[in-house]
Amino acid sequence: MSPARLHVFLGVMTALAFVGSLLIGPAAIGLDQTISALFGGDVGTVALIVKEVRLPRAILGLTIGATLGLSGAVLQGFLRNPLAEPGLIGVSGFASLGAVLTFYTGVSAAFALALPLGGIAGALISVMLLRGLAGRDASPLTLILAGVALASFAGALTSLALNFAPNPFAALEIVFWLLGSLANRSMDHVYLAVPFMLTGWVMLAFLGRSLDALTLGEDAARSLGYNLGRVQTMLIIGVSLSVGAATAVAGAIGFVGLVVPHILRPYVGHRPSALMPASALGGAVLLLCADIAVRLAAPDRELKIGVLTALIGAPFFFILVWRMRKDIS
Amino acid sequence: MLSWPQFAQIIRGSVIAGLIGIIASPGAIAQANRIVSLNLCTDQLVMLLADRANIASISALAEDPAISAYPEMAAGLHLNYGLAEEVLALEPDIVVTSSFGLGATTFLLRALGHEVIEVGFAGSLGDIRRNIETVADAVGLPTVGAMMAAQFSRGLALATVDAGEQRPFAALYWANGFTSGAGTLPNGVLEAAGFRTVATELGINGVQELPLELLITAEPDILVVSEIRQTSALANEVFSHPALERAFASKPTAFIPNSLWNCGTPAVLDAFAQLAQVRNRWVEDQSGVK
Repeated sequence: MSPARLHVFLGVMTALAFVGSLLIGPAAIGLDQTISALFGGDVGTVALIVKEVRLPRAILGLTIGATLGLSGAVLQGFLRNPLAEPGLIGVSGFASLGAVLTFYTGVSAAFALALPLGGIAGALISVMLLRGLAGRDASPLTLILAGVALASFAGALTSLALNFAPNPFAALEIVFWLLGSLANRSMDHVYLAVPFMLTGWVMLAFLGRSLDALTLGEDAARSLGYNLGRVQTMLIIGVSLSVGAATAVAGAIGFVGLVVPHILRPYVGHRPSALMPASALGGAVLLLCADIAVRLAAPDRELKIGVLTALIGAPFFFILVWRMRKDIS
Repeated sequence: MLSWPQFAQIIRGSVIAGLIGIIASPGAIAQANRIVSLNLCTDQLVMLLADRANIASISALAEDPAISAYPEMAAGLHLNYGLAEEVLALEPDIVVTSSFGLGATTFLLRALGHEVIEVGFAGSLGDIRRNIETVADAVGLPTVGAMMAAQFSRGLALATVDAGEQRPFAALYWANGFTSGAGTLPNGVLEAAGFRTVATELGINGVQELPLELLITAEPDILVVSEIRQTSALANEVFSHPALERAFASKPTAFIPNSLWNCGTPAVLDAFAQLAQVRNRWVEDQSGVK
């Protein structure tokens, strides 16, 4: 499949998954009812469910999935590390922590934008810490080790913050922030997070060419006239904006950024600039489908979407580790 | 009308003064001197039944007005956090707790030779009477327990409504989007107070998540909310979800404090009283519409 065909295929899949997300739920609502609810002036119960319950969930599934897929592709390309992914290197974990601190202190209740800004600040801090911890020319293993250390540290601090939150549901909510969920998210969350994610995507979209050049090595990229310092700055801000805002409204959803670029890379001739849009679409498909599966599998239980993405992603992680082991030996 | 704490004090006083205790069998069990309760629900029954001087400790939850019906009675009593160590230091005659939770503490205390009475979870109105009697027997006050249980049963008989056709359709919605269905006290109270419930209609057993979509499609007449804390919690976000706000924009929302029905105590009669007002208002509105 050529990259162009792959993009069309993934675009169609994304559209189908998005429609599926609007159609599937505990309340039985048909296709015709859904369409008239979305586009007609309908104000009844059905319209309320479609527009205010399912639509925000579908929009967030699409945009957050795309954010995670895109960020995974960009991070793997820039760091030339097959294991780089927002969840594994601690970006999602710190974004969660940032959001938790604004949410449970009541700051975000007074000033709604504090929630995504907290997530973004957390993500930025994690990237700074990662650079400091792993050093500039970190080997893939050093980088991942540093990332895993940061991720567990962020998880511990998030749990600690929630243990001190004056809130009887804290124990349950730790699960949300560590694993992620799209349940009962509303249009308010869409308005809070999507603008930041879009801004992040635009910044990352400019990096395609330079990441292509980077596959030839840093020196080659420099000699081709790419300013790697600027590329890094754009990448850090782009990833922090999109992953930070995504995590602030849906918790830390892992493994999407790891799995999707890996599945798609062979189809785009290992070119980061072609992998980025493909991964964004692939991430959207994966998260939308995972969210549908969560609704179908256990509608009356609180199955978190992150449990599902981890179930899909962890075996992938095993395979990658096994491959790296072979390469080393 | 007498409040339950006042009522309890009077019957306890009369029993101890020998006015009522005559019928009790000779050599009746003596009242325990050092009672320790480890569970919010047993705390409340212990505080109602036993003399303050004989209560060595109750759980710290009993002091929280959001979940305890008698927080003022807890003031000044020793509070525990359900740890075996604390209990051992108190040298209790008897420990009462719920059969739900704290299994490790119960096991350890029993292994160390302490008598621990586990009181079942109140899943129905009938269980309340049973629990009053169980706790009363455990602390050595069976006569006080029998009187309080009888008084409760009388109150319950008066409060129970045979509403016939005039049963508003109510949705009970907890934080996190949960509801209480068959086998739970709040659902039983709602039904006995003359409501139909969404949980029963949808066949929900126990406390389960009720997806917002299903709550809205059920189109209940009244939304019953029972726990709103003024703290930031994701759990509360469901109450400000635009879909919920719009679905109930022109319908009544009733607030029944969680402390009245999260445990099987006589306080559920106050929940009945509040629900009766809600129902009467609904019936009036209905006849106004027609």
